[in-house]
Amino acid sequence: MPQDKDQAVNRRRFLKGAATGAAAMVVNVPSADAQNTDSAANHGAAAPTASQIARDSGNIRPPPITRAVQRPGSDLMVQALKDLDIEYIASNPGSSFEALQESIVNYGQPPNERPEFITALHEETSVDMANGYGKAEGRPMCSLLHGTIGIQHASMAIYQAYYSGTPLLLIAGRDDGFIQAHTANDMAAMVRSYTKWDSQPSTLLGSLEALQEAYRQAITPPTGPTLVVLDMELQKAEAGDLEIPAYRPPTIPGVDATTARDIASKLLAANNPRIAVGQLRTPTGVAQAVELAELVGATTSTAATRGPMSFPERHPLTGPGAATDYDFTLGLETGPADIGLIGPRVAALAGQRDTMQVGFGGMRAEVPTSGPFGPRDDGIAARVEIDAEASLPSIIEAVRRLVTRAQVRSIDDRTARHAAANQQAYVAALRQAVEDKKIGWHASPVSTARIYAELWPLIMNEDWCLASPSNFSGGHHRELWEHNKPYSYLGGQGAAGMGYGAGACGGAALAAKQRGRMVINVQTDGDLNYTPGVLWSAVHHRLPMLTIMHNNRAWHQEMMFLEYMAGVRGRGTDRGHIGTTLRDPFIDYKKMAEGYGMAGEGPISDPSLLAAALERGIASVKRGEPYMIDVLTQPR
Amino acid sequence: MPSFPITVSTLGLLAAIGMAPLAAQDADNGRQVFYDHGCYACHGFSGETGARDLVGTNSPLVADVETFITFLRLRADVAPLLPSTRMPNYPETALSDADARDLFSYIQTFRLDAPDIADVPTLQAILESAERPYQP
Repeated sequence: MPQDKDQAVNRRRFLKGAATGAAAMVVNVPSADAQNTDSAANHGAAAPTASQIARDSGNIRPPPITRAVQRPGSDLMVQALKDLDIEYIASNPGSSFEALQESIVNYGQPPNERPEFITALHEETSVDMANGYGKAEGRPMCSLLHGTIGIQHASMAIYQAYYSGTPLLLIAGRDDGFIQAHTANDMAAMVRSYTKWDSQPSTLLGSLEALQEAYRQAITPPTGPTLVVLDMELQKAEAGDLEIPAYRPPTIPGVDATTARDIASKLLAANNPRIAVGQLRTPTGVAQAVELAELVGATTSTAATRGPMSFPERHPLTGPGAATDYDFTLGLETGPADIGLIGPRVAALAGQRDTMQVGFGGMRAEVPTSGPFGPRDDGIAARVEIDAEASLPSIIEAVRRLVTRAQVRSIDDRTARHAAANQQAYVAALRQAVEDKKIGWHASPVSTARIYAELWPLIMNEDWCLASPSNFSGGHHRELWEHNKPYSYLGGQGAAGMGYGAGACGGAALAAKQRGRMVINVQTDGDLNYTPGVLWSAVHHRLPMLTIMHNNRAWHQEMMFLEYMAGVRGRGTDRGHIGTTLRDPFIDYKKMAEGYGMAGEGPISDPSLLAAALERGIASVKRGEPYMIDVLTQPR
Repeated sequence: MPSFPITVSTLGLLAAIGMAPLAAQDADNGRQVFYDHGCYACHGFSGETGARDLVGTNSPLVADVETFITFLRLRADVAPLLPSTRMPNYPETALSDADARDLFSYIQTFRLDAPDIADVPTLQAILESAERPYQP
């Protein structure tokens, strides 16, 4: 944690200096009463002074006021965030960043609107929002946390973002002179084990540099959440003529020229090359992966149905292709492959960041897990420890340099054959999926498959983002929808923790708002009850978010766990509902939405009513009014 | 989903050695049992969603009541260390034979609902969506 001790701000000295300045201002502007007193003592009933006349005639003016701080440090902090093109800062208010918040809403002329202050009702929500935004855009948004209590409220969402490797920039206010329970010597220590980088600078210049470094660290592989603690004194300090340092983007290493040439040669020499595409970092990386596949006529696999930033699912080259006798496979953050480019993961930082040796299970190198920390390199013959996205430009350049005219003709022929075969395979798989999903079509409560099936024809020609995890609602979109954008599906919770979905959807909707996109939120009921306040934020900020409740009135996975355990022990299988169900009373989600000002309808248990409700919801979202449809569903 | 393979012949043998003559079965009570013991959590309220073993799959486990009850009792020793969403054990101490028979009777009322795609415009639209040209 960098500390700028030489230039440390001393709070007492700062406040004393400010008070002295204010006193000097008063001394230099004597009051009219003071002048009168002098005059009366020395000269008796003298003629009225000019100031008396001015006062009596109503022409008196207050003395000119000079602000003690002309250029607040927090103004520079906001400018630094503007320079980084931070679009949003989500937070609920807190005294430890009152100066920074004032700058966010008032800095500049006209007053600042970007980054826009997004009002959240809980720090967990504000960080979940940043998580959803970061997943959708591949770059950070900001969350502002209030002291020790805000960091602790946010900790669960930070934990999830860390497991997802989502780049986001956290700022915590620190005020050592106010409520002592809200401050600490080392604020970031509470979440150090699951943040990538943190700093608690002690100078204003250091604060500006820390914000830039935090951004740089967040987007540099391994991407993840970073945290800057900003002291109140620095937020309120006079910046004087301090300049904001120029931001230097990170240099992310890719494969060297020799390796790039080797990979390019192998792709071009292969009769049936393939590219396995996992999760890249940004939309730029996705576009480059597409460019490379098209250049060499390679079929691809994709992770787009499981998370963001992967190859477009319906690209003509996505699929098994005309033949599966692949003679060279390049892996981009996944396998199987002959050569796999696998970038670093935040789990590798555990030794450096987990200074308290908490030992979070998902970060132990020796424990195999699924998800972002899972074995991405399964079946990779030659693994290159390098970020795949950063390597793509040099591989593309090498291909362009090496490819011959004869190869171009062969690649064109191959691409056409693959495209036809992939289309055929997709249609066959879709037909099978529809045959499968139609079972229970008329069931009441509504089947989860029908929710996703009814949605698809209504959104297929829209720009959409499914931001809610689908693992508890059957994941039916994977087989029924086309995931062609880097943000089509934002994947799971990260650390499989509840309370994430609604907030992440809110953040994705922030990204969607300026881009003509809509966010679909198939919202599990148990999850929403952790942080329902995001519904208000969605309404307040007019977020394009359609929420469809997957209301099965239970935490059903846990109910199944409990049933199983009771059965094993030979008792009470009729008591598995205790502590696992949301009945007596049932929760009325339409009323919940109404309470937060959100339009909606339901509960719907008749599936024949669903399509019309979805149409109304989409129309509402297009008007800028988020909408909720409470659907009573089958359990899974 | 069963956690270990059971064949029809195995079930026939188990049924032959284990089961008493069946009493009259009450599907209405079976419906309540289906709900109280959380069967719907995995199999859906109509047996068609989630784990779909109860209807339309010709599962031997629900082919007859003796096999069904034997299967319910058979799983007592299946106790993995990790949490499981597999088919639980239902011992007689938790679910009586009478209730199990009623449960079986209720399961027999389930009917597979799988309409022809041609009769459902939504499903047709999904299939037709695959013919659209790819748009980046």
